[in-house]
Amino acid sequence: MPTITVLYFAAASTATGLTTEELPLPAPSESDNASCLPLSALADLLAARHPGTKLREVLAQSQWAVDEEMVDDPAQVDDPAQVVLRGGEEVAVICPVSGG
Amino acid sequence: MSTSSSVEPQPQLPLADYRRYGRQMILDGFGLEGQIELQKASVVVVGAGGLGCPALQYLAAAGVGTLGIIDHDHVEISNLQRQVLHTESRVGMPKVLSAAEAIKQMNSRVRVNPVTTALNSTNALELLAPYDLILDCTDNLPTRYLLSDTAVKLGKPLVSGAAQQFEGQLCTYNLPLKNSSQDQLQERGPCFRCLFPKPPAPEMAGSCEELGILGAVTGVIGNLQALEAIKILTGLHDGKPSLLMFSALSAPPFRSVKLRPRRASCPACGVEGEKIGKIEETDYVAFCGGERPDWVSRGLVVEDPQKRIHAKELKNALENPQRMVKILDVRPRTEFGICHLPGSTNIPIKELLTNPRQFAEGLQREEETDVYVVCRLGNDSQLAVDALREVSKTVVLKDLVGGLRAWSKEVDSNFPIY
Repeated sequence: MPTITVLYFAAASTATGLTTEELPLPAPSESDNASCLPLSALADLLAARHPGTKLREVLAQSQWAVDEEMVDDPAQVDDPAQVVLRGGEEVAVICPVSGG
Repeated sequence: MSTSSSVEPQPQLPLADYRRYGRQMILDGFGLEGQIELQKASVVVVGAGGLGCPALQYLAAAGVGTLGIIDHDHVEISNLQRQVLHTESRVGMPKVLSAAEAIKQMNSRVRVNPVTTALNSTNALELLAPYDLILDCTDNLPTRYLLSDTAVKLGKPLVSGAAQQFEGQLCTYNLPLKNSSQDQLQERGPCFRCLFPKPPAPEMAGSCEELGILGAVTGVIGNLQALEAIKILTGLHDGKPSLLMFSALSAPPFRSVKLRPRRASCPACGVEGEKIGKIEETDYVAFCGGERPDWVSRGLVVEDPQKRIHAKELKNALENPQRMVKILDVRPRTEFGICHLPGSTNIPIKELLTNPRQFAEGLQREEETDVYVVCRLGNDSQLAVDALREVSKTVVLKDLVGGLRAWSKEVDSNFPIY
């Protein structure tokens, strides 16, 4: 089954207790014969994997990077499903750090 | 024949500087020109704390001509584990003056402009305008947004560092791009607002005091900020905007992501006509969700005397017990391990709030027992009492006003304050 690697930093790492996690993509649907996941659906999937944590709130305030490149906020682009994960990607959760 | 004619090019730096900066001047790509650029340059460092100290240290040592330092705090003993320009003898002194003193001892020719006023939206433009480059070494989000917006208005690069616990970030916002095309959007990299249009809620953005920070971590990021500034000033920067994340306990500890171009819709640096929202007259503190809570003061507020006990009363209750007494310490395990009251039981607040009923059942079996809840400052202990009262019949269930810090101040000065 295709998987993606999720990298957690700062608040996301504190919430999950993880720095990295392998995530199997959901099984293929009828309309699509290969496993794939729109990036815009990843937050819900990850939050469901870590119930009882603040991950959902952290993700709402974070940005995504896919394969070492930032992605425009899925909520702010016209087609929220435009970035699609097909397996093998490395997805990083980037949240602002403010201390100093 | 004069000595000056026996050397070409004509010396453009004081003779002593050739010896002093020779180790960096012989670097390919740096050279005499690099040193002259640094000598001519002016950099303003906002925040003379964990990031600002190492940044200033390396900028001064490298021979940056003028350094502005802006900070309104005073040196405290708890700063010294990471704010390496300050010293025991300068505790209580304004941080900018302490840093200026340290720089003077290190490199007397650097011109230092210390500013003890707090940076705000009315003075930011004026205070930052004289400099070529801005370093964000601050510890709070409102100032980070203010610095970003101001850097955009002034058209100056903003080298931003941040650190918390074992992690840090480095990013240069508004970076001048190399080989930029005619497209106006391409001339500068994105700003902080492009990356993080919405600030996180204040409770998600804790401080070093609440969350902790390792000094060597701020040292890594502060050094990288100095390096980034030197690269930009001497033309060694590749002009490609990226965000570097440092995680001391991960392997590999450094990861870098490429940034997207500026957002055309960014209210700060976007394209006129396409901007969404306005930043004029922004109240930055309100934008970031309000003032950061003052946990020390909040922990001292007594609204319902039935729910709280003062340190001296608790001491009496422990010394002259009418009934069984139990002390519940709701701090995280690590903090409990630093110091705790003898005989106290540790149930971290996170665990207690997840399932108060489970812990209340333990208390119910001891109905003859008075329960006192303690924490560091007296805030989490109030949450614990409220949660336990909802599910417990324990008659006396109170928390310690001002927490263990008050215990140390009012009852036992040998109890550590941290």
